[in-house]
Amino acid sequence: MPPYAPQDGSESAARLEFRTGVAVLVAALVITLMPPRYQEAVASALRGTALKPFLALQEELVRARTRAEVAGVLQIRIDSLTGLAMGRTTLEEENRRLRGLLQLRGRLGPEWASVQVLRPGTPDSEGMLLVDAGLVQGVRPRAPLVTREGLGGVIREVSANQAVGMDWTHSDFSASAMTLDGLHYGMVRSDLGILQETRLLFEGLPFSAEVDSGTVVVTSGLGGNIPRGLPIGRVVVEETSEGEWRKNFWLQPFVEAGSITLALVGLEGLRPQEDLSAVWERDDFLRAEERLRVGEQFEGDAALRDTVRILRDSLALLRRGSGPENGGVR
Amino acid sequence: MRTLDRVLALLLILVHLIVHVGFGVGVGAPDLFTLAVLIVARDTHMALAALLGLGLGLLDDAQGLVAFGAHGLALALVGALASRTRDLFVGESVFFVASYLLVGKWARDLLHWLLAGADNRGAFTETVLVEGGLGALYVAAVGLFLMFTTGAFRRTARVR
Repeated sequence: MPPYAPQDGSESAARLEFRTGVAVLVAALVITLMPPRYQEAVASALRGTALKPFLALQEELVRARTRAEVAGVLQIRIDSLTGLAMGRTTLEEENRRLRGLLQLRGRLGPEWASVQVLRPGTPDSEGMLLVDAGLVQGVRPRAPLVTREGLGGVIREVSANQAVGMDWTHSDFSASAMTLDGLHYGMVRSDLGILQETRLLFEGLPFSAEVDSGTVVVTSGLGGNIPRGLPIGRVVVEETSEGEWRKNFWLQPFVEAGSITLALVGLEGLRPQEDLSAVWERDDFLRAEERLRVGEQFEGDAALRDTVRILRDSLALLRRGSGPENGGVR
Repeated sequence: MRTLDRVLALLLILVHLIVHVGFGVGVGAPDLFTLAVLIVARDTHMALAALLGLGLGLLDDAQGLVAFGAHGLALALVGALASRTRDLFVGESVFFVASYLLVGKWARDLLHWLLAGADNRGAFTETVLVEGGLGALYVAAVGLFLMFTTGAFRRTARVR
């Protein structure tokens, strides 16, 4: 390729251009050889002027990235705390059940043993449950299975250290029952509702029986297996499938069958003719969730009482402080 | 120097500052300062090219803590030498443009490696041959795309 001529064609201009270029290069060399403090001054000036907006942009990006990371960490903490809180709720629920069972056992007496209830979880085993106590512990067939809320089921078969039972949803479940006032007797068994759901039916009452909805139904003790007075459920509505000679009533059971994990089982020494009506007080016929609500209400009332007490104490202190002996006016 | 060259060089400088300084992207983004100097140097006199190289190099130096001025001197030398190539070579072919950009960027890395001093530089093979070579290819590719897309290089040759 041929050499290229300078732009303006002037020899002197080219020489000037070259010298200026060399001067710039010398200046660049001088900058590299400057003492570090001067170099730092130049660098600082550049950072504070030309680079400033871009460094600010970088700072903002770093800050945003840090915020995102912090948000991530916070999210993880929230998840952990939520997990802990949920675990605590389960624990509280279990504690509440255990406490309830302990109180109940104290009232029922030594003929009752606490057991853990397991669900088989296999097809065609709906309504069945496994109990971790058997003949060795004194469990016998037809023994009642009770929770804090009332009768939950009945034991069917017993082996040495294990027993198989059924809760009230099982099609074979039945128990002799009566209204709490003892006026009307009948049988309670599980039956299918309109939507094929399992419900409790209180049947065999005389046609003349007048039972209001909300009436509590308990075991009657007839039959010789289940003691009298164990809560079963409360009347919801009349079921008139048997014409005009008997009355049946749908019940809302006190025990939620799926929640039976801890229970009390009647042992060998249990006397079926015993009346346990006194164990449950009138305000005690509640489902588990109703009991929880009542407990929360009670705790809320207790907090309110505490606040009132503190305010009263503060007022008393103020009054004492402003009394005539302290220069105040009573 | 035409307006298009100025605008292109300004855009390259701005994008370099945003990407490298603002976003903190390292070797993932091409060295657009060198590309700007190489584009401007083909169309302006040696002093201006060297001055532009020195200014942009000092901006690079200001972000580092060691060997202040090495980037400035290296880029000023590249600018000065690139502007002198007008007296030696004329061309607008893809091969010439690619070679010009590739050699220009590689020379900048080599000069910086030499000027940075033994304490502040990596191994020659790694820094100059591998990283420098890849960086030069990157700049050449980006430069070719930009120059032929905008027509900057063809117009520059016509001016001659």
